[in-house]
Amino acid sequence: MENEKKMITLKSSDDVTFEVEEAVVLESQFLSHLVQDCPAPEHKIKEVTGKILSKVVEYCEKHVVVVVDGGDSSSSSGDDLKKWDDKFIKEMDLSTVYDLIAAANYLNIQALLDLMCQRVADVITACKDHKEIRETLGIVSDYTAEEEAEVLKENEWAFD
Amino acid sequence: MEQKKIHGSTHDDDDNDRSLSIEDIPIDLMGEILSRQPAKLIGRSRSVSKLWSSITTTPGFINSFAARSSASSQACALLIFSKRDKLFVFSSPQAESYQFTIPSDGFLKRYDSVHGLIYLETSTQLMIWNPTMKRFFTLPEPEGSEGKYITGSLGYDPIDCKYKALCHLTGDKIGILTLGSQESWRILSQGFPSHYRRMTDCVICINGVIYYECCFGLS
Repeated sequence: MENEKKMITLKSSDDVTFEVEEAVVLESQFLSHLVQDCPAPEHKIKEVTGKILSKVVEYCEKHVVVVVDGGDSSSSSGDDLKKWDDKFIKEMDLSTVYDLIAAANYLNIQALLDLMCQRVADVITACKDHKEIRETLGIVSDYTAEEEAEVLKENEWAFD
Repeated sequence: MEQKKIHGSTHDDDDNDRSLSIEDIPIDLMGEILSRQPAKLIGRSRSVSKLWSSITTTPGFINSFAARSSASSQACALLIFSKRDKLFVFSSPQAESYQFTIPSDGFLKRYDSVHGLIYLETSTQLMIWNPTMKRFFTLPEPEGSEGKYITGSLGYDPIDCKYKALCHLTGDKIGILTLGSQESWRILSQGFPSHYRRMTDCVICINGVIYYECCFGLS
Protein backbone atom coordinates (compact mmCIF):
# COMPACT_ATOMS: atom_id res chain seq x y z
CA MET A 1 0.00 0.00 0.00
CA GLU A 2 2.96 2.30 -0.63
CA ASN A 3 1.54 3.70 -3.84
CA GLU A 4 0.85 7.35 -4.06
CA LYS A 5 -2.82 7.77 -3.26
CA LYS A 6 -4.81 9.71 -5.76
CA MET A 7 -6.58 12.61 -4.14
CA ILE A 8 -9.78 14.23 -5.29
CA THR A 9 -11.32 17.48 -4.13
CA LEU A 10 -15.06 17.72 -3.56
CA LYS A 11 -16.70 21.10 -3.30
CA SER A 12 -20.09 21.55 -1.64
CA SER A 13 -22.90 23.86 -2.75
CA ASP A 14 -21.66 26.51 -0.32
CA ASP A 15 -18.05 26.13 -1.52
CA VAL A 16 -16.65 24.11 1.34
CA THR A 17 -13.95 21.84 -0.06
CA PHE A 18 -12.86 18.38 1.04
CA GLU A 19 -9.77 16.62 -0.15
CA VAL A 20 -10.30 12.87 -0.08
CA GLU A 21 -8.67 9.72 -1.42
CA GLU A 22 -10.11 8.34 -4.62
CA ALA A 23 -11.11 5.14 -2.80
CA VAL A 24 -13.39 7.19 -0.55
CA VAL A 25 -15.10 8.78 -3.52
CA LEU A 26 -15.72 5.33 -5.03
CA GLU A 27 -18.11 4.54 -2.17
CA SER A 28 -20.54 6.72 -4.07
CA GLN A 29 -21.82 5.27 -7.33
CA PHE A 30 -22.61 8.72 -8.61
CA LEU A 31 -19.16 10.11 -7.84
CA SER A 32 -17.30 7.10 -9.17
CA HIS A 33 -19.01 7.60 -12.54
CA LEU A 34 -18.32 11.30 -12.37
CA VAL A 35 -14.63 10.76 -11.59
CA GLN A 36 -14.29 8.23 -14.41
CA ASP A 37 -16.06 10.35 -16.99
CA CYS A 38 -14.54 13.64 -16.05
CA PRO A 39 -11.05 13.33 -14.57
CA ALA A 40 -10.87 16.84 -13.15
CA PRO A 41 -9.08 17.36 -9.81
CA GLU A 42 -12.10 19.11 -8.30
CA HIS A 43 -15.80 18.29 -8.45
CA LYS A 44 -18.56 20.59 -7.37
CA ILE A 45 -21.61 18.92 -5.82
CA LYS A 46 -24.30 21.55 -6.08
CA GLU A 47 -26.98 19.54 -4.34
CA VAL A 48 -25.14 18.98 -1.05
CA THR A 49 -24.12 21.56 1.55
CA GLY A 50 -20.78 21.60 3.35
CA LYS A 51 -22.31 20.52 6.63
CA ILE A 52 -23.85 17.42 5.06
CA LEU A 53 -20.95 16.67 2.74
CA SER A 54 -18.62 16.59 5.76
CA LYS A 55 -20.85 13.87 7.26
CA VAL A 56 -20.90 11.95 3.99
CA VAL A 57 -17.11 12.15 3.72
CA GLU A 58 -16.73 11.09 7.36
CA TYR A 59 -18.95 8.06 6.76
CA CYS A 60 -17.27 7.01 3.52
CA GLU A 61 -13.77 7.40 4.97
CA LYS A 62 -14.63 5.22 7.92
CA HIS A 63 -16.20 2.57 5.75
CA VAL A 64 -13.51 2.48 3.11
CA VAL A 65 -10.76 2.12 5.75
CA VAL A 66 -12.46 -0.83 7.40
CA VAL A 67 -13.14 -2.59 4.12
CA VAL A 68 -9.57 -2.12 2.88
CA ASP A 69 -7.76 -2.97 6.13
CA GLY A 70 -10.31 -5.40 7.50
CA GLY A 71 -9.11 -8.32 5.39
CA ASP A 72 -9.75 -11.65 7.06
CA SER A 73 -10.78 -10.32 10.45
CA SER A 74 -13.93 -8.95 8.89
CA SER A 75 -16.24 -10.07 11.66
CA SER A 76 -14.57 -8.05 14.42
CA SER A 77 -14.11 -5.04 12.19
CA GLY A 78 -17.74 -5.47 11.16
CA ASP A 79 -18.72 -5.13 14.82
CA ASP A 80 -16.54 -2.07 15.22
CA LEU A 81 -18.11 -0.56 12.15
CA LYS A 82 -21.56 -1.22 13.53
CA LYS A 83 -20.62 0.51 16.79
CA TRP A 84 -19.22 3.39 14.84
CA ASP A 85 -22.43 3.63 12.77
CA ASP A 86 -24.53 3.63 15.95
CA LYS A 87 -22.51 6.47 17.41
CA PHE A 88 -22.58 8.34 14.10
CA ILE A 89 -26.39 8.20 14.06
CA LYS A 90 -26.93 8.96 17.72
CA GLU A 91 -25.29 12.36 17.53
CA MET A 92 -27.55 13.42 14.70
CA ASP A 93 -30.84 15.30 14.78
CA LEU A 94 -33.64 14.23 12.48
CA SER A 95 -33.22 17.17 10.15
CA THR A 96 -29.62 16.11 9.49
CA VAL A 97 -30.84 12.56 8.92
CA TYR A 98 -33.26 13.82 6.24
CA ASP A 99 -30.46 15.80 4.63
CA LEU A 100 -28.26 12.72 4.62
CA ILE A 101 -31.04 10.64 3.10
CA ALA A 102 -31.35 13.17 0.29
CA ALA A 103 -27.55 13.30 -0.14
CA ALA A 104 -27.06 9.52 -0.01
CA ASN A 105 -29.87 9.10 -2.51
CA TYR A 106 -28.40 11.69 -4.85
CA LEU A 107 -24.83 10.42 -4.52
CA ASN A 108 -26.03 6.83 -4.62
CA ILE A 109 -24.36 5.50 -1.46
CA GLN A 110 -26.58 2.54 -0.63
CA ALA A 111 -25.10 1.63 2.76
CA LEU A 112 -25.47 5.19 4.05
CA LEU A 113 -29.00 5.41 2.67
CA ASP A 114 -29.91 2.13 4.40
CA LEU A 115 -28.45 3.33 7.68
CA MET A 116 -30.37 6.61 7.59
CA CYS A 117 -33.67 5.01 6.54
CA GLN A 118 -33.30 2.53 9.37
CA ARG A 119 -32.71 5.43 11.75
CA VAL A 120 -36.02 7.08 10.81
CA ALA A 121 -37.78 3.70 10.99
CA ASP A 122 -36.38 3.19 14.51
CA VAL A 123 -37.65 6.61 15.56
CA ILE A 124 -41.12 5.71 14.22
CA THR A 125 -41.02 2.32 15.92
CA ALA A 126 -40.13 3.89 19.27
CA CYS A 127 -43.25 6.08 19.24
CA LYS A 128 -46.13 4.79 21.31
CA ASP A 129 -48.93 5.72 18.92
CA HIS A 130 -49.80 7.53 15.70
CA LYS A 131 -50.12 10.87 17.52
CA GLU A 132 -46.62 10.62 18.90
CA ILE A 133 -45.34 9.77 15.41
CA ARG A 134 -46.93 12.97 14.09
CA GLU A 135 -45.47 15.03 16.93
CA THR A 136 -42.00 13.55 16.64
CA LEU A 137 -41.75 13.87 12.88
CA GLY A 138 -43.74 17.09 12.55
CA ILE A 139 -46.46 15.62 10.35
CA VAL A 140 -49.76 17.45 10.07
CA SER A 141 -52.59 14.99 9.69
CA ASP A 142 -54.77 15.44 6.63
CA TYR A 143 -57.53 13.23 8.01
CA THR A 144 -60.79 14.77 9.12
CA ALA A 145 -61.97 13.68 12.56
CA GLU A 146 -64.44 11.22 11.00
CA GLU A 147 -61.88 9.80 8.62
CA GLU A 148 -59.41 9.41 11.44
CA ALA A 149 -61.91 7.57 13.60
CA GLU A 150 -62.64 5.26 10.70
CA VAL A 151 -59.02 4.53 9.84
CA LEU A 152 -58.24 3.89 13.50
CA LYS A 153 -61.09 1.46 13.72
CA GLU A 154 -59.98 -0.23 10.54
CA ASN A 155 -56.45 -0.64 11.79
CA GLU A 156 -57.07 -1.42 15.40
CA TRP A 157 -55.48 -4.65 16.43
CA ALA A 158 -57.68 -7.60 16.79
CA PHE A 159 -55.33 -8.96 19.43
CA ASP A 160 -52.68 -7.53 21.67
CA MET B 1 -7.42 11.18 8.22
CA GLU B 2 -7.04 12.62 4.76
CA GLN B 3 -9.95 14.95 5.10
CA LYS B 4 -8.81 18.50 5.12
CA LYS B 5 -10.99 21.50 5.11
CA ILE B 6 -9.06 23.73 2.79
CA HIS B 7 -11.38 26.57 2.50
CA GLY B 8 -14.84 27.37 3.73
CA SER B 9 -16.75 30.46 2.82
CA THR B 10 -19.52 31.51 5.13
CA HIS B 11 -21.71 33.71 3.04
CA ASP B 12 -25.33 33.39 4.02
CA ASP B 13 -27.05 31.32 1.44
CA ASP B 14 -30.79 30.84 1.84
CA ASP B 15 -30.51 27.25 0.72
CA ASN B 16 -28.10 26.31 3.46
CA ASP B 17 -30.28 27.40 6.31
CA ARG B 18 -33.39 25.67 5.13
CA SER B 19 -33.62 22.46 7.08
CA LEU B 20 -35.42 19.51 5.56
CA SER B 21 -38.54 17.97 7.00
CA ILE B 22 -39.99 14.51 6.59
CA GLU B 23 -42.18 15.83 3.77
CA ASP B 24 -39.06 16.45 1.67
CA ILE B 25 -38.27 12.76 1.54
CA PRO B 26 -39.29 11.26 -1.82
CA ILE B 27 -42.22 8.85 -1.67
CA ASP B 28 -40.22 5.79 -2.75
CA LEU B 29 -37.74 6.39 0.07
CA MET B 30 -40.57 6.98 2.52
CA GLY B 31 -41.85 3.54 1.51
CA GLU B 32 -38.39 2.16 2.15
CA ILE B 33 -38.40 3.70 5.63
CA LEU B 34 -41.89 2.50 6.52
CA SER B 35 -41.13 -1.04 5.33
CA ARG B 36 -38.39 -1.23 7.97
CA GLN B 37 -40.90 -1.14 10.82
CA PRO B 38 -42.02 -4.29 12.58
CA ALA B 39 -45.02 -5.76 10.80
CA LYS B 40 -47.49 -5.19 13.61
CA LEU B 41 -46.82 -1.44 13.53
CA ILE B 42 -47.68 -0.96 9.86
CA GLY B 43 -51.37 -0.62 10.74
CA ARG B 44 -50.83 2.41 12.93
CA SER B 45 -48.68 4.13 10.25
CA ARG B 46 -51.84 4.18 8.19
CA SER B 47 -53.44 6.34 10.87
CA VAL B 48 -50.69 8.98 10.66
CA SER B 49 -51.69 10.58 7.35
CA LYS B 50 -53.36 9.85 4.04
CA LEU B 51 -49.97 9.85 2.35
CA TRP B 52 -48.61 7.20 4.71
CA SER B 53 -51.76 5.21 4.28
CA SER B 54 -51.45 5.26 0.50
CA ILE B 55 -47.74 4.37 0.65
CA THR B 56 -48.28 1.36 2.90
CA THR B 57 -51.19 -0.05 0.93
CA THR B 58 -49.57 -0.26 -2.51
CA PRO B 59 -48.83 -3.79 -3.79
CA GLY B 60 -45.20 -2.75 -4.27
CA PHE B 61 -44.87 -1.82 -0.62
CA ILE B 62 -46.54 -4.99 0.58
CA ASN B 63 -44.26 -7.10 -1.62
CA SER B 64 -41.07 -5.40 -0.54
CA PHE B 65 -42.26 -5.67 3.01
CA ALA B 66 -42.99 -9.38 2.67
CA ALA B 67 -39.61 -9.93 1.00
CA ARG B 68 -37.84 -8.11 3.80
CA SER B 69 -39.57 -10.00 6.57
CA SER B 70 -39.10 -13.38 4.94
CA ALA B 71 -35.41 -12.63 4.37
CA SER B 72 -34.84 -11.59 7.96
CA SER B 73 -36.83 -14.26 9.73
CA GLN B 74 -37.10 -17.99 9.35
CA ALA B 75 -39.95 -19.61 7.51
CA CYS B 76 -43.00 -19.72 9.69
CA ALA B 77 -45.61 -22.40 10.08
CA LEU B 78 -49.06 -21.65 11.41
CA LEU B 79 -51.14 -24.29 13.13
CA ILE B 80 -54.82 -23.59 13.38
CA PHE B 81 -57.43 -25.47 15.37
CA SER B 82 -61.01 -24.61 15.93
CA LYS B 83 -63.08 -25.63 18.88
CA ARG B 84 -66.69 -24.52 19.16
CA ASP B 85 -66.65 -20.76 18.60
CA LYS B 86 -62.92 -20.33 19.24
CA LEU B 87 -60.05 -20.44 16.83
CA PHE B 88 -56.59 -21.25 18.17
CA VAL B 89 -53.52 -20.27 16.23
CA PHE B 90 -49.95 -21.26 17.00
CA SER B 91 -47.01 -20.03 15.01
CA SER B 92 -43.67 -21.74 14.81
CA PRO B 93 -40.76 -21.04 15.33
CA GLN B 94 -41.78 -17.77 17.00
CA ALA B 95 -43.93 -19.83 19.35
CA GLU B 96 -46.60 -17.18 19.51
CA SER B 97 -50.13 -18.24 20.10
CA TYR B 98 -53.43 -16.49 19.77
CA GLN B 99 -56.99 -17.40 20.21
CA PHE B 100 -60.04 -15.49 19.23
CA THR B 101 -63.73 -15.86 19.23
CA ILE B 102 -65.19 -16.26 15.81
CA PRO B 103 -67.61 -13.39 15.18
CA SER B 104 -71.26 -13.60 14.19
CA ASP B 105 -72.88 -16.97 14.62
CA GLY B 106 -69.61 -18.50 15.73
CA PHE B 107 -69.89 -21.58 13.61
CA LEU B 108 -66.83 -21.92 11.44
CA LYS B 109 -67.44 -23.91 8.27
CA ARG B 110 -64.11 -23.62 6.58
CA TYR B 111 -60.70 -22.13 7.11
CA ASP B 112 -57.79 -22.09 4.78
CA SER B 113 -54.38 -20.49 4.41
CA VAL B 114 -53.61 -18.62 1.20
CA HIS B 115 -50.28 -16.90 0.69
CA GLY B 116 -49.94 -15.80 4.30
CA LEU B 117 -53.56 -14.86 4.90
CA ILE B 118 -56.08 -17.00 6.70
CA TYR B 119 -59.48 -17.32 5.13
CA LEU B 120 -62.41 -18.08 7.43
CA GLU B 121 -65.92 -18.87 6.41
CA THR B 122 -69.01 -19.11 8.55
CA SER B 123 -72.45 -19.93 7.24
CA THR B 124 -73.17 -16.26 6.55
CA GLN B 125 -69.83 -14.48 6.28
CA LEU B 126 -66.43 -14.57 4.67
CA MET B 127 -63.61 -13.25 6.79
CA ILE B 128 -59.91 -12.72 6.31
CA TRP B 129 -57.36 -12.76 9.05
CA ASN B 130 -53.88 -11.34 8.54
CA PRO B 131 -51.65 -13.10 11.07
CA THR B 132 -48.69 -10.76 10.38
CA MET B 133 -50.62 -7.63 11.24
CA LYS B 134 -53.05 -9.45 13.51
CA ARG B 135 -55.84 -7.79 11.62
CA PHE B 136 -59.17 -9.22 10.94
CA PHE B 137 -61.87 -8.10 8.57
CA THR B 138 -65.17 -9.26 7.20
CA LEU B 139 -65.79 -9.14 3.48
CA PRO B 140 -68.85 -7.13 2.44
CA GLU B 141 -71.90 -9.00 1.31
CA PRO B 142 -72.50 -9.16 -2.43
CA GLU B 143 -74.87 -6.33 -3.29
CA GLY B 144 -77.37 -5.72 -6.02
CA SER B 145 -78.02 -9.33 -6.88
CA GLU B 146 -80.88 -11.55 -6.00
CA GLY B 147 -78.48 -14.44 -5.46
CA LYS B 148 -77.79 -15.55 -1.92
CA TYR B 149 -74.39 -16.51 -0.74
CA ILE B 150 -73.59 -20.25 -0.65
CA THR B 151 -69.84 -20.67 -0.22
CA GLY B 152 -66.59 -18.91 -1.01
CA SER B 153 -62.84 -19.22 -1.19
CA LEU B 154 -59.75 -17.08 -1.35
CA GLY B 155 -57.09 -17.02 -4.06
CA TYR B 156 -53.83 -15.21 -4.66
CA ASP B 157 -52.83 -13.89 -8.04
CA PRO B 158 -49.01 -13.94 -8.15
CA ILE B 159 -48.89 -11.82 -11.32
CA ASP B 160 -50.83 -8.81 -10.10
CA CYS B 161 -49.93 -9.63 -6.49
CA LYS B 162 -53.57 -9.38 -5.43
CA TYR B 163 -55.80 -11.49 -3.30
CA LYS B 164 -59.17 -12.30 -4.79
CA ALA B 165 -62.15 -13.80 -3.08
CA LEU B 166 -64.54 -15.97 -5.03
CA CYS B 167 -68.04 -16.78 -3.89
CA HIS B 168 -70.83 -18.89 -5.27
CA LEU B 169 -74.32 -17.46 -5.07
CA THR B 170 -77.67 -19.04 -5.60
CA GLY B 171 -79.13 -18.69 -9.10
CA ASP B 172 -75.91 -19.80 -10.78
CA LYS B 173 -74.01 -16.63 -10.05
CA ILE B 174 -70.39 -16.16 -9.09
CA GLY B 175 -69.02 -13.14 -7.22
CA ILE B 176 -65.41 -11.99 -7.42
CA LEU B 177 -63.88 -9.45 -5.07
CA THR B 178 -60.35 -8.06 -5.31
CA LEU B 179 -59.03 -7.27 -1.86
CA GLY B 180 -57.60 -3.84 -1.29
CA SER B 181 -59.40 -2.13 -4.17
CA GLN B 182 -62.90 -0.71 -4.07
CA GLU B 183 -64.03 -3.85 -2.34
CA SER B 184 -67.27 -4.46 -4.13
CA TRP B 185 -68.25 -7.74 -5.71
CA ARG B 186 -68.21 -8.24 -9.43
CA ILE B 187 -71.07 -10.61 -10.21
CA LEU B 188 -70.86 -13.05 -13.13
CA SER B 189 -73.97 -14.82 -14.29
CA GLN B 190 -72.92 -16.19 -17.66
CA GLY B 191 -69.87 -17.38 -19.57
CA PHE B 192 -69.38 -20.53 -17.51
CA PRO B 193 -71.19 -23.88 -17.40
CA SER B 194 -74.01 -24.10 -14.93
CA HIS B 195 -72.72 -25.78 -11.78
CA TYR B 196 -73.35 -26.02 -8.10
CA ARG B 197 -70.82 -25.88 -5.32
CA ARG B 198 -71.41 -26.98 -1.77
CA MET B 199 -69.76 -25.76 1.38
CA THR B 200 -68.09 -29.11 1.95
CA ASP B 201 -66.52 -29.36 -1.51
CA CYS B 202 -62.75 -29.13 -1.82
CA VAL B 203 -61.12 -25.93 -2.99
CA ILE B 204 -57.47 -24.99 -3.42
CA CYS B 205 -55.51 -22.14 -4.99
CA ILE B 206 -52.32 -23.11 -6.83
CA ASN B 207 -50.21 -20.56 -8.72
CA GLY B 208 -53.02 -18.11 -9.12
CA VAL B 209 -55.68 -20.59 -10.19
CA ILE B 210 -58.53 -21.62 -7.92
CA TYR B 211 -59.56 -25.25 -8.36
CA TYR B 212 -62.81 -26.38 -6.79
CA GLU B 213 -65.00 -29.40 -6.69
CA CYS B 214 -68.57 -28.95 -7.89
CA CYS B 215 -71.63 -30.70 -9.27
CA PHE B 216 -73.25 -30.27 -12.66
CA GLY B 217 -76.87 -30.44 -13.61
CA LEU B 218 -78.42 -29.98 -10.18
CA SER B 219 -79.88 -26.53 -10.63
